[in-house]
Amino acid sequence: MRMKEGNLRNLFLCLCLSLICISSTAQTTQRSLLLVCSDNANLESLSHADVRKLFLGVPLIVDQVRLKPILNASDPLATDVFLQKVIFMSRRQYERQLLSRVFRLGDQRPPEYEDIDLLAKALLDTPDSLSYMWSEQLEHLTGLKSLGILWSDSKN
Amino acid sequence: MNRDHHRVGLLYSLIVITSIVYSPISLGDATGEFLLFPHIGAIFRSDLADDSLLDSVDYTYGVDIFATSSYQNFLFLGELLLAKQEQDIERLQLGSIVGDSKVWLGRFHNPVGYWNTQFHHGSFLESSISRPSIVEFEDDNGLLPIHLTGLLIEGVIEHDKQGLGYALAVGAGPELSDELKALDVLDPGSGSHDLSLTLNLYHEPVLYAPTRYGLFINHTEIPATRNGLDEIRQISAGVYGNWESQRWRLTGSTFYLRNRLQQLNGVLTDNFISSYFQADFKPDDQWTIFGRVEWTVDDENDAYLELFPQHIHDRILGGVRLDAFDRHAFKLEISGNRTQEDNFGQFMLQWDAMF
Repeated sequence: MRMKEGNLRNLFLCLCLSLICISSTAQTTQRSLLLVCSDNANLESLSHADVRKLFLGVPLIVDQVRLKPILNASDPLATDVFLQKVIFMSRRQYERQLLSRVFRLGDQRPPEYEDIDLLAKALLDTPDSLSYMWSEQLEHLTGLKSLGILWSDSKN
Repeated sequence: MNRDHHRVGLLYSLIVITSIVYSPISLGDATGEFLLFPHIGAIFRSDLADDSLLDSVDYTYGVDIFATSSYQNFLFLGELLLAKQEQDIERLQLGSIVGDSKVWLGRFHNPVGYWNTQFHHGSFLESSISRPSIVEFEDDNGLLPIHLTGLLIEGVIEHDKQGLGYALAVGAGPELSDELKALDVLDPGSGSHDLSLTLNLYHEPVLYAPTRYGLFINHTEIPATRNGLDEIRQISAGVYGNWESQRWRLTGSTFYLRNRLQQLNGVLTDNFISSYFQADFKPDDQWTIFGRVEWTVDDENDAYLELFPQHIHDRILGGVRLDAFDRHAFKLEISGNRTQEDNFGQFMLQWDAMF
């Protein structure tokens, strides 16, 4: 019986540890999509409305500096979340809208980077430029800062 | 201006546009776009009248060259069309960003209605092959001043996540000889051109989203050298709407046109109404099915319309568009058309692309 009680106690401890692990894992997998720019940028924040405007190709001038958007294509999910939650358009609608604005109004489409390191380099080289990325992507990059959370997976 | 000089002018324009986009300043702080929109098409017509000026079979081809460049608050936009029927500078604009507005000088699309500012010579952006006849280009039996040369101010005022857009244009309009002729920026001294004014106001229920509803008015004084005409004073006004969802796009507009034709022996005033409605349905990412109806009211014996015998008064059309191979579009369009003197069927095929 004592052995059985010991086993039960061990089992209970294992369960508790597992729960703690699951809980901590859940916390680390909670994802936030961040608006990012170079540490050297003078910008401290930007409203979601201005982010949408900027990435739709509308010229946006803050403190006499014209901001430059860069699309992060390193993670298709990040792009989809960004388009749906910030731009409020599907990828197809977004591409068509951008092209239409270029052709009508002479606006420019944002450049797109599939390699996160090249994206980071572009942000560092051009301090007026902004992009978006997952919080865990930003953790592995130096010289960049977050200007705020664009979207967070709050269910986990 | 003779044809050789015109071609030399076009070549210079092409070099200038390319130089601006690829200049060291463009590769530095400035950004820009350089796009090519080639197209090849075939047109087959049936039931043409014996004395019709239209061909039963026709082929089209060409490329629309488009470039933009911006440096700080300054903007450049150029569009050059090199096609079978015409080679022309369609747009040549220098602009500046002033607050939420853009102020442009040069030759631009007249913001009359919706279609003319949304689409132009790069038909890759259009679902259909043809344009509604009421917004047809000047050199293609068009009735309206499609291109102006002068000043354009446009922008959107934000209010509670909605937009109130505006475009105000003041410039030189077209003249009427054998057809309407917009001012040639390569030879601005040629021809006779008078004032054209346009105001376009629209509402965007969601700021910068494609759905919008608007109204417009234009006044143009058109010097004329045809059929004993001296001048035409034209007023066009109307409403338009464009609604878009994931799969559907509905576009429509109604134009009221009043023309005062000043002849050597008196003045004649006529008016008519022209409308179009187009529906696009996208069952998936590749296919688009579209249909459009166009109709004109009070067009019988209209003195202005009689100057354009090949202009299409009524049309019903349907077609499909297939998008494939990354920015290539294959289109098919079938229509029934009524002009002043003719009723004919038309079958069109076209390849469009964007590079």
